[in-house]
Amino acid sequence: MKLQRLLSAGIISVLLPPLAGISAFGDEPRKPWLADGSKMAIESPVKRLISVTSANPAMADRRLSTNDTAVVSPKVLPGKVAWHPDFNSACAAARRSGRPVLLFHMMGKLDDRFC
Amino acid sequence: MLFSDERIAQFINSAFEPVWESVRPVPTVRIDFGQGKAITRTLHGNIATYVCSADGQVLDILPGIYAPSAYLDRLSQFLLLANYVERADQPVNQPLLIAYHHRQAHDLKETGKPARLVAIRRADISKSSIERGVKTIIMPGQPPQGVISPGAGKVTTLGLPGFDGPEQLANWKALAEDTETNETVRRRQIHEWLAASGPVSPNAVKRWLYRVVLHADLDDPYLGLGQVLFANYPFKEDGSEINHP
Repeated sequence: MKLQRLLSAGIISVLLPPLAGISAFGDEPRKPWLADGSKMAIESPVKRLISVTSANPAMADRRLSTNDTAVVSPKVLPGKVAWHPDFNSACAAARRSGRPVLLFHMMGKLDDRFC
Repeated sequence: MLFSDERIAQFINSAFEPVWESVRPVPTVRIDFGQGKAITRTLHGNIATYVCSADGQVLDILPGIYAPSAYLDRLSQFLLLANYVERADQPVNQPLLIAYHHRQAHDLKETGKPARLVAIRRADISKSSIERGVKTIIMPGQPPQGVISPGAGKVTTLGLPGFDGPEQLANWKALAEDTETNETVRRRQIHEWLAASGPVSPNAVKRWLYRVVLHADLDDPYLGLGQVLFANYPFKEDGSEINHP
């Protein structure tokens, strides 16, 4: 019985991304395969993630040795844009330069690998 | 990643004062297959790009992720919009900004084609047409030079990127379809909201934007996914597997 519940949990975990996308868009019907599709273009495909982790056992060990619920997200360069440190600084610079402010809002951090 | 694209980064650096902010941590999924094999990826994250005046007022918003060439085109429209409504050393022309959002919402509703801002070169200005001081006018909607034909029901491609395999092609198609939804359904919602809101800061609009337009409620710890996540969750009776903040 316990095995059956564990298997169910495992299957649900694997299926969660597409399921989440379907319902999350509530009144706006979306195709199931599009659930998380847009981010696929900027997120590493599963095979690549596995190969990266597998090719570097130290990375996997480090993640496994940390808190089970926490994901270690290595720092990366936030693209090639010269970002201001905060919104106020950008506005101050805009007053000097005459350029508009471009603000990018996101979940996670742009300089984290998982964002 | 959009901001690693040389053309996009160069354009942003030359035309804007750029800044990024995190609105909350991104949900992550980690599957441990055992024997040192695990994968981690993000889930249901979403983004928004605002163009703001120097005093921090939102002028317009791009919701979600765009294909690079479409993103670049919309950034150039953002630059023209700033030029259109905000002259040097003067506050934002509020009536003009509201009229712009009204028109875009109306055009998207009626024709599916938003109006385009166009820079008019003047004889006395020899520099780039996108710099301040250049007259900007608004024109009836035309398909942008880049990537999508809003309202046409399908994605039109100019300058298709090269694909190494079917996976890349599938990803590109998904991104192109998302771009079209962003440009039609979501942009119309934004134009309607900004036309009615008056001057607003990014912090004042972000909760509405994420909840209503991007369908990820920032005030909900499960981003609106709780019902689905826990509907068939086998251990929900004891609650021990769910960590409430």
